[in-house]
Amino acid sequence: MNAYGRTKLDFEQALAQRRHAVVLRSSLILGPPTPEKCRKQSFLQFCDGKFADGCAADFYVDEYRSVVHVADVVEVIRRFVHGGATKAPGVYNMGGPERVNRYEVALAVCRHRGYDVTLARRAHRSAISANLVPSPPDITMDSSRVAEVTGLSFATLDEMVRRSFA
Amino acid sequence: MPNKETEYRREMVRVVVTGASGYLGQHLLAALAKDGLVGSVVAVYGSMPDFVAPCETRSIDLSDSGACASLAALELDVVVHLAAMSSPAACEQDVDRARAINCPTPLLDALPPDLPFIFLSTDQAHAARAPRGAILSQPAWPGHARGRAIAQLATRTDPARRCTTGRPTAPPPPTPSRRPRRR
Repeated sequence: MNAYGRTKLDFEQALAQRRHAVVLRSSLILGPPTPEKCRKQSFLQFCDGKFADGCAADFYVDEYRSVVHVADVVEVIRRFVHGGATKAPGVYNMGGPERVNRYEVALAVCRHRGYDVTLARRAHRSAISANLVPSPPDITMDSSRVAEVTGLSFATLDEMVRRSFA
Repeated sequence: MPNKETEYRREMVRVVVTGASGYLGQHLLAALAKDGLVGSVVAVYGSMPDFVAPCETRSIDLSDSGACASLAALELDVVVHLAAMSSPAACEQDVDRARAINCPTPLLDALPPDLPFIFLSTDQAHAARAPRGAILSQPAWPGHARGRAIAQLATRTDPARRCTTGRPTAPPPPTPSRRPRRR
């Protein structure tokens, strides 16, 4: 486990003794730009910025995540803010319904925005990972419990892209 | 004798959001600003000098016990903790700083033990047991009962809200049923 995951897990464990604590294990969050200036936007804006300039880029095909839309994350949090943290404390997976890699996300941006799809190039993290921080190749999560508890359903990748560039 | 308006205001929640200047934080602040049952929000951020928010802001170092104690004095109803050092590479380069930011125990020490606390963690916390191709099941904390559905509760809080992709919510009851705010 890398230092990021380990330190987050440590805080999860520090919270476990609190009666009204909710832990949301979030996947990669995608969505529209922030209302104000922000140090880092979502991966969708990264892709769009590259492709809008006509730049090709490499995207991993061998690292899978349950990407989730920022509006869905906000709504989950809002429901826990309004009493859910006392009614249903615990640790929850929070990801979208699909298992996708970054190349697939980049392709979805290309197609939706009308860019040349060859600008998104396939790359294998496992082939260039000598100096990269270790990261699991597949963190596909079953997030049915948070969906059940909150009564929400989560956006697919195509829905996320469509809403983010609306 | 309080009138209807002041009674209603007393039932609204006071929320603190850490990591408020980040990507999720800004989207959350925008949503809470439109939420009819959020009375006030305090946006806590680390070091972004020109951060703009639709609410009160405070620049606080969450590894500082004294700074965290100042949050405890705010008479909060719920904490949403988003602050993080989220770059895995930066965390590897400075593990002590990553621990101070990602595991801010002074914050927990400063807050009342029963205060509702919502923590944005990461799928990377699954890393120790993430075999390729497996779908990672729901983790569990010992001692926590299976969560009860809060969908109905959430429905009551704001009739206009619905998940962007989800099912529409039903109209609320005629009067709010939340507990009164402490004074």
